[in-house]
Amino acid sequence: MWSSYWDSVAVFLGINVLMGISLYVPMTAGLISLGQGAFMAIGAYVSALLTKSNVPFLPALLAGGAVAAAAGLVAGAPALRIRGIYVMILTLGFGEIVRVFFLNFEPTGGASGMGGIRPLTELWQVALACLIAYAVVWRMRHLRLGRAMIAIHEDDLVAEAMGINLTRTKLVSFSLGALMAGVAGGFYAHQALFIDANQFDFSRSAITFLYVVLGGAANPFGSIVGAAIVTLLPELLRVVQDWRMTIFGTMLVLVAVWRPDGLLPAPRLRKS
Amino acid sequence: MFSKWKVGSTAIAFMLASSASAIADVSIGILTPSSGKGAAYGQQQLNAINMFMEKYADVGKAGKLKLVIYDTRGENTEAINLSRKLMDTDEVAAIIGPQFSAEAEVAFPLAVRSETPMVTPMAAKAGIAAANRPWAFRFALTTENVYRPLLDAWLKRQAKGIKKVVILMDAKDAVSSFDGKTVFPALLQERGIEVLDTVSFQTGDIDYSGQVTRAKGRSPDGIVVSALYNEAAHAVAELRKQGMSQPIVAGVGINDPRFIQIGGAATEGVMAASDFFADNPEPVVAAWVKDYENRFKQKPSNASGEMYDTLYLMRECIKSTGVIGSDLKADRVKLRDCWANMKNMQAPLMGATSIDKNGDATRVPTVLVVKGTAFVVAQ
Amino acid sequence: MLAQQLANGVMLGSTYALVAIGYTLIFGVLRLLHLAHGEVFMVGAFAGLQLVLWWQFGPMVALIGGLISSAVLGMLLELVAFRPIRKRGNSHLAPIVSTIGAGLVLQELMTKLFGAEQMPFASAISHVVYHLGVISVTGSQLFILSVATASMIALHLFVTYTSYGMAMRATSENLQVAAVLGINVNTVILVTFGVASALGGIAGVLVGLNFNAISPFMGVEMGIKGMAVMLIGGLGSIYGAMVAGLLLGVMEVLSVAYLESSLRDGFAFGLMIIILIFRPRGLFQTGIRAER
Repeated sequence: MWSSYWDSVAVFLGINVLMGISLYVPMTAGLISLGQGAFMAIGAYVSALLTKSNVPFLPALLAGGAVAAAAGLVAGAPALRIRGIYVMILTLGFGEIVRVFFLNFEPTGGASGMGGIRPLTELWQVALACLIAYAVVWRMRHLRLGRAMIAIHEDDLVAEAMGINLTRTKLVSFSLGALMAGVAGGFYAHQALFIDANQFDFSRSAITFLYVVLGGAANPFGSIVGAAIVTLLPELLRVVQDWRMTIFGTMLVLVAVWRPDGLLPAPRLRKS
Repeated sequence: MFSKWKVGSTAIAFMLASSASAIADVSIGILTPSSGKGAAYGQQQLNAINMFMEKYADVGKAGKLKLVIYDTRGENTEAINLSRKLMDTDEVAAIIGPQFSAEAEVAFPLAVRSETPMVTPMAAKAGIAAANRPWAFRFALTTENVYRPLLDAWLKRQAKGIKKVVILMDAKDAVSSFDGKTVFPALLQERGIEVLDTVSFQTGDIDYSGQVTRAKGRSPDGIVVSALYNEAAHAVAELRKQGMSQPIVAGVGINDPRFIQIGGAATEGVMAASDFFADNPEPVVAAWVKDYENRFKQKPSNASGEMYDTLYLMRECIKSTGVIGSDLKADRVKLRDCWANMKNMQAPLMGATSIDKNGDATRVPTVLVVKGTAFVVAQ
Repeated sequence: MLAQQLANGVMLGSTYALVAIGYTLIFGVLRLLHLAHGEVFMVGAFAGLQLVLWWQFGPMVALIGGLISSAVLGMLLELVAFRPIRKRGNSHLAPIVSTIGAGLVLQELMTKLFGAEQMPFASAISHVVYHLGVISVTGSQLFILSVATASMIALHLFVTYTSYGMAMRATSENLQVAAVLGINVNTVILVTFGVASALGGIAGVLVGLNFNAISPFMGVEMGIKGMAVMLIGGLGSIYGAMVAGLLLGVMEVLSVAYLESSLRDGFAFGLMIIILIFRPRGLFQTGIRAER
């Protein structure tokens, strides 16, 4: 029976899926971000501030995403000259800095957080946003940009030799991911109705990372599978309340060992 | 440790047993963090629920009290989902919880939407009940009401008189930072005391040397510490270590026996105020504490005392309003009104409680001072 | 005042250094992030606590107990969470997942055993205060400094003069070549984990002794900072980790003294980002290019 409980669970699931896609996009260009929580925070706070001033939901959401995308450009810039592990730690650091910022920024509540946000999020909106995000990802694979990203992922030097503008491609992918995370943040803010810096800390970024890698980082549907498992499993495990996290952690280890590339395999490359 | 596991399943067993007996039961939902970061509080509360149900499961005409207990893990998302579950699927007449201020912030608007009374035993953040009238209530005292008598008692005790203080506060904890930035300064100013500096640290910090050195440099007459028990204990230990012997007054976060355990001898003489403290000599409280200690091998803290009393008052409301579980909507309204109009209802551990127009509880707190290894009533 | 702050900073910094060295050792041989290292640090603290509580042992025994428990745990983690992945094609993302999972399990297990509360870590040496001129330090702070220094010296000797140590350095340089040269790479990796985790365990006991409380979640923040310190010092550089740890400790204490403390956590990462922009390989550049 569809109750408001399952509705709420579904909304959060949708938000998590969107977060997963937001990480998948830069990852296809080889940029592994452990800081998506920061972009989610920016989107959440900006959109909440706007709706409080009676800006309608859609423009507020998009504005939040836009500011997050801009932040993505800023955060992405240092990531251009480095790669791999460095990018992970850089984005982790960025995530922490944003968290500390919101913890101290009084106009958005500081440590007390921001409450009284209007309840504007609905399931169909989140579902639609996920569909749009997927459509974008799917089209991208066939457009120049998407193939450029995959090429970079395979080998930087060869890609550059082939004329692909590394800088632009990386920045665009990072920024696009940040935009999606920002929109997810906007949805979150208008569902939870209260946000504070703690909601967007490293564990948020780490869990987003799990969605993608668990499901299969090479497969665009990986993040749906990953997000679904990570979000729904604790609900299903409620019968073993006390041992939930232990079981979950063990499963993570098992999956990582048994299927290091994630649950879904990489889709076969199609000829152009 | 094993008794904690047993308690969780015993509480659930009570729930199942009591649901099997009566036809039209009154269901009350409970949200508590029994696992995850807040698990210490949650475990304490499950203990208190256990003790309560042994004595008071019977609610007269309404048959047996049925508790539906969910674990929020201290997470806001869970608080949201589970509140909805309780109100719309389990159809409880009222909810006791959630416990953390952030959880209450996200859950209270849902209570308003589903028109179900929600009382948080523990959440101490000011204004959240006021923003969600008429369905949200807070059982814990507003910190302003606690600190007023506390500061007066503290000042009275000082032979030398206090004119200048430094505030040390936890900037990461919402309640502590609000008290440190707003509540304490206002009350101090009322009494003509100057705040020289406000020095902050964060929940989970392990090093306080920098902050204390800075406070020392200000040469205050007294020190105000607004933090949770662990951080406060460290800060106080560091203060004494660096040779600062000024009198210390502290906020509600330290009302836990572990403050003294962790801080050791350095906590001697620190003053605080609380409506519940484990070493209260009053016979009813002392007996309850002794019972708790015998069963669970630990001292009860605010969390368990507040849960117990909130349960008690909820049961009183059920009995006095004649709720028998037959008409959910009407039951919820009746319970809401009982809480909203509460005047001097006697809570067993914390005394006569009233609810003000903001939905916050008012009581007379006890002013305490640390002496030896326990809090005692300050004379 | 400044001298006192500097002294405080060095104490704090030496614990960061010990944890960061652990990360950098592991990264050096495997080129991987070990996201459960913070929990190894935490388990060391609890092991030390148990020894102090149950049998009334002093801090030295607690230290050795913490060191051994962490070393064993670290090696176990290598066998369970890293080695099987190496065998199956060496994904660089999967170990992150497995270590996040392992970290969760460790947190939950410790919570089950000890409760989620902070536990006091009382010790006789904590309360003695020494006044050296303008600075005052407690017995436990001196203990931290001497143990940390001794550990780092011991590590330096190990890495420079023993055959295992040299094998570790060779494997760090180039895993394939080391294998060709006859070094048993699997054993070296295991030993590296043992050493790295032992250092983490020592840091855990030191933190527990000095700051007098430990919790199952104390590894999270320390874990993140440790990674930042590793990067500032230069991936794979032991001496870089030492220097960067001390530098960060001093910076944090000074920032608290002269600015708002809630900005303190931002310093670690702000410094890290500045380093990444101007000197991406860290303060002490090793040959590691951090390629996949």
